[in-house]
Amino acid sequence: MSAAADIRQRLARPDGVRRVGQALWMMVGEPMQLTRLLWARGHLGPRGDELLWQALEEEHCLEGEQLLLEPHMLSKFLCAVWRDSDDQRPVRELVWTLPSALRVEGIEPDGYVREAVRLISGAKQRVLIVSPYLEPKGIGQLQAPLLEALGRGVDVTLVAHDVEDLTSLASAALEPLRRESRGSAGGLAVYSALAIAEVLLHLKVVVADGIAAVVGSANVTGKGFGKNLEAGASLGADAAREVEAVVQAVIEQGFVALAYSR
Amino acid sequence: MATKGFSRGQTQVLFRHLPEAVFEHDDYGLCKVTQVALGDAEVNREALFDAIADALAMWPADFVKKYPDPRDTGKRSIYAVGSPREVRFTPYPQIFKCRTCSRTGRFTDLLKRGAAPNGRCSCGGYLNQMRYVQAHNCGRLEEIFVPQMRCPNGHGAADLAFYDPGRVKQARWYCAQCKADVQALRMTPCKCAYNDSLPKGPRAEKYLRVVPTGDPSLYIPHTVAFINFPEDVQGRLRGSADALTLMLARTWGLLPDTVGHTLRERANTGNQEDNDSMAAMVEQLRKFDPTNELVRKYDARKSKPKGQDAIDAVTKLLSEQGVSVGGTPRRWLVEHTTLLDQTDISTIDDVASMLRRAGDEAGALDIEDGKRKAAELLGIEHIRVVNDFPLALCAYGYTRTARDPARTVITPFPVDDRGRIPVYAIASETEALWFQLDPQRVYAWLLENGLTAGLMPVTREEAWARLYAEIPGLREAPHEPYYNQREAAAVRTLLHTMSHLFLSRIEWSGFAPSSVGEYLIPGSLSFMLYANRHAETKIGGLTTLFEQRLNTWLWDAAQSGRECVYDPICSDDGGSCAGCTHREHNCVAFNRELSRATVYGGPTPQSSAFDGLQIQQGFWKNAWQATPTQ
Repeated sequence: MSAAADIRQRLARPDGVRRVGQALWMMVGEPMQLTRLLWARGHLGPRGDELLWQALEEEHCLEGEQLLLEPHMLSKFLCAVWRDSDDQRPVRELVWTLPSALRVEGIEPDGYVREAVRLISGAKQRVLIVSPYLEPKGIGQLQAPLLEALGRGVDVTLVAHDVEDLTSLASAALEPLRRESRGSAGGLAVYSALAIAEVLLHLKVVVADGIAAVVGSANVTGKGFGKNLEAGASLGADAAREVEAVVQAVIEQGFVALAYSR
Repeated sequence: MATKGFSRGQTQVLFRHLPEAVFEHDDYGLCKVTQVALGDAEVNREALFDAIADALAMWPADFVKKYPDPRDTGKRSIYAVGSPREVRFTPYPQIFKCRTCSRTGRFTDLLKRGAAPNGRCSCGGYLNQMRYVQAHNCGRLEEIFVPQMRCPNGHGAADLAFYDPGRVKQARWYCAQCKADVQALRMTPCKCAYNDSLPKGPRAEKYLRVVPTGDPSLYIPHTVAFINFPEDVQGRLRGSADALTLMLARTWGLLPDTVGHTLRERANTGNQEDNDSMAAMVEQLRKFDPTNELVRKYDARKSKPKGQDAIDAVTKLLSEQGVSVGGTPRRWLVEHTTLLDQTDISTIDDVASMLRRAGDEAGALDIEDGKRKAAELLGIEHIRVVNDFPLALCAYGYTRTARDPARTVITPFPVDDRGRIPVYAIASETEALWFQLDPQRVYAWLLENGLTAGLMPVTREEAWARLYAEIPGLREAPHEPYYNQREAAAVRTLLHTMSHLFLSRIEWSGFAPSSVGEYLIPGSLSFMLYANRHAETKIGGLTTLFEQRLNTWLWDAAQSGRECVYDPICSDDGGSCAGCTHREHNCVAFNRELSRATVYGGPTPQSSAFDGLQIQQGFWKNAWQATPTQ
């Protein structure tokens, strides 16, 4: 169970949620520390401060090195906590890649790649990317945040087709990342879908720390992130953990093979 | 048969005497290399495996399956990397033919038949090695098939003779006794990945080909050259706190000491145990003598660790541009600081001093004039000569019958006694010229041509910071979002064009243009021209050019680069063609991002990042003033 779901169960509605929300909202934009959440024990019981801190971390409410409380994600977290137990819909937001000729009011045309970059940039422990097709123009858009993540010790796992083939486009796409990440604190593991396995690897996901994911139709390609009409959903911790578990099973059960690791 | 040993130069071994090569020995006749012992090789293993991965990527996936993936650090232990140290070989092929009667047979069969081990046939004639073998595109090598059948008249294999007219189709096996025909040369079929890749049905390529032992296509070693930056030490420092800031400071000329030394000193300052004991001692000393020199030095060091001024300066410069420094240094920055910190570099001032010490005042004045003109008229802030530019060459396998990756399977050298695949590498130090542009001049050029907007930076440090903040594409890899930023493409084109123009007049050094390679580091506004040699000695051509003809060479290149035999068509079309900037060899960017317009002004190529923009002010607009005075 995610910390947000735990909090949702512990808090009385509507007063408990209102009070926690009010207290948190007054801290928006300020640097956060665990000691500033001691008041939460009164609402959430023993070690309630630690639970709330964990939830803020899991829901990406803390931003940057100073851990500033970020209003957009905080509002999403509070919305998730507000919903009663019969309506446990995950935090959800649709993200899109719109073709340049298509403009829809209120929709970011490059929301898909921005969400992927946001997840990678906020990752603290691990990032998982599954994309059947990889192209230099696609991975190039994630390269800087991936290198930054690797530099701060985040382990990155990539799963794609044809990476074991040195001549493939996927291999070529990943070479700059592999070479630039040399000496980084984080590990890089690249898996390749096996042609002999009669299972088509077709999912496209980016998961950060098992607490946030974007799942959708876009491959990590120039067109997937810039020209096609693609849709995805930005999901919370429950879905992220589920995706991680499935991909882990795919790896462990031999549907993909390790092409290389560093 | 006993294995013999002999020695050759390393480069010669790398090209002619690697395992499975067939060669003619002065004493032992035709031989095949069985093993080449490995010695120590000082190569950057990361760079070596990258180079091998790049090279293997030219072959179809099924043709490189004998190689463990060099990208995988876990599989690299399957390779044994070293310099070729000792060549071992054995006589090959072991099929002999009598010079007198043409009787032919395997060496072991000839012995059984009474052919004496002194090399004489049963007829008394001399036995010679057969000069043909069979080879296939998959790398397989076989001796010629010797038939064991009797002739139609019942004479045995001992009388088998070989008719060699010099053409495979006409060559025959026949009986030396009765001259009866036995058979033609047999075409041996092969079952291999190469044949699997061919269309079904009979094809000549599916059979081993009979090849003379002296045919160059019998054994084609595959080598790859790479720049062997000694970046292991520097690379390890990448993860250190402040590494990025210090490397930027070093590149921008704000840090006089090396990055490695500075980082180590800073790390020592942070050693808690040492600090505690040192602090206790200093405090004791302070009680007796508060003004003691050691106490003051300690206080100064504690208040400002080594390199802190440089870090503060870079942080301030970048924060003024709205950029916060953070993250891990990119590869280009590590390469630049590695070259700066770990190679033997001579500057123009060094050479001028050296010439004056030698009494050559005119030479000293000339090179100083070259420095002045380079800075004022050509926008080049630094020209240095790197005396030990690191290059390496490695051999990773061989093919037979062809070099073309589409028509051959690349074969690794036979594994050593520990089951590892040998990779032969030789590291050499060559000479290089290192040019670094003036950041203020580059920024001014961008401003003058409307490629960027804003105010002119007041100092060179500010110019560096502005370039760093405003042109992220200069430090990004291809396909990253800003790589094709127009300003970045413009600066890269400028650097690349200057590199090619200087190379076009590199004959002043004695080197042919094809013998000189280029290396660009756009993030530090640098390019290097290096002698592409893998020998243990340096010719000194580039060094001599730098020391004695720099002024003349720069002026000649700047003047002659203005024209192209295909002008005005070429200059109207962007100023880049085979008649001017294109190079036949050694271009790192395959002749992309080139335009004489960047240095002399004029229209840029339509298909480039400039979109045909007219460059009003060439970077070398004042180069004409560099005309040497008599």
